[in-house]
Amino acid sequence: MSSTDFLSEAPKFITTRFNSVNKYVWQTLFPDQTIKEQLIKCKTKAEKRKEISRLKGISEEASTVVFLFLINKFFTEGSKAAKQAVDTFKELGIKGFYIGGNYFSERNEKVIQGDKISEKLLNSIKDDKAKELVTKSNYVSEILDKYRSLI
Amino acid sequence: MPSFLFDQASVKTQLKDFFKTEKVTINNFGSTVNQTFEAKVFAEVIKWYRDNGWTVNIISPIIKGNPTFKLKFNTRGAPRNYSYARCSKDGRTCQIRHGLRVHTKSYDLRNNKSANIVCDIVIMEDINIDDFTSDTAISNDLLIAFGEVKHMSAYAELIASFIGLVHELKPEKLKKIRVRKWQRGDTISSFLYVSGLLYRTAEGLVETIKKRKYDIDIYSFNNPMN
Repeated sequence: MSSTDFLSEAPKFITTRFNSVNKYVWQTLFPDQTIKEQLIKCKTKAEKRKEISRLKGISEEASTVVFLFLINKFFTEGSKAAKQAVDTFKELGIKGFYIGGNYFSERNEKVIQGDKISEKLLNSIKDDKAKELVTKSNYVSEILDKYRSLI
Repeated sequence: MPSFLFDQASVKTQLKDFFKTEKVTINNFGSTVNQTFEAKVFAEVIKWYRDNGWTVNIISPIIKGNPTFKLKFNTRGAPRNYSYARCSKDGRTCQIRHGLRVHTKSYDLRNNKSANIVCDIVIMEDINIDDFTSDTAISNDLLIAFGEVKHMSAYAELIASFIGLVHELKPEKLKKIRVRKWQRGDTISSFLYVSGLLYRTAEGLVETIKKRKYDIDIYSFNNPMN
């Protein structure tokens, strides 16, 4: 499976929203100077090729987990925003609000929809280490720091 | 496919299956998620006023004989058809509106064309605008502050674009205002609220905003309003 094949079944707004993750991760992990410093250690062209391939592998795996982290946050933050909105409006005597034909109130299906999708996403990931990287990290930088130590 | 901290190939296959199974639900979630964040920020601004001692009342349009709470997620629509908050404190009143058209500072009534911008959140003087149509904009001198809401992470260009909006709507806030003696008053400052993080390039611009002491705020996942 190539680096973004797993997105072939994803809705378009997901691929649009997260299509820059690979670039962001690569640029964060490997500013120009880092690559030069790494490659200067290689004595032959073959070694350089091997090293570039290793660094790309690190970046690709980091991108996958950063994508997972961000998309999971996207779902949970959606629910969090909905809860905060309905709770504040409720304090003002408003039972709920509509977005198009969708009604948001209390903890109804629309309000917790993001949490439910996040739950399904995490349940679908069987690899405990990958799941732990997503759920135990608070920031993207924490994930990238773990990969930076592999460089 | 090389593995470093986990089995990447399996996770990618599982992700692909997840998207295949949940595509419809995710699309439904995606169709409302931006507006949900806008509703949350509208609510947060109301909360900010309440927490700062203002009394807040929600005024809603009458639909089928009943006041019906309705937010304005579109640039089109007459303001009277949507809900707003009226805030009062110590004899002063203001309104918090959602999706309201505002004339720019430089607009002059003698101009040939209207220069206006629809702001996601508007804090304005308390006047009756029930006769406004979808195309009518409030006069700039009625604008107390405005908020731009983006359900995304911020990069430098987004921050610069917001400064451009402030330049058009509240240019007097782009001056050395937040000096040592400055204290936040009873009204909110114009703001950009992003749901995500500030990328490093955005953080760079925010630092220069602080150094220039502009009276604007950038809120984000890491720096919420309340």
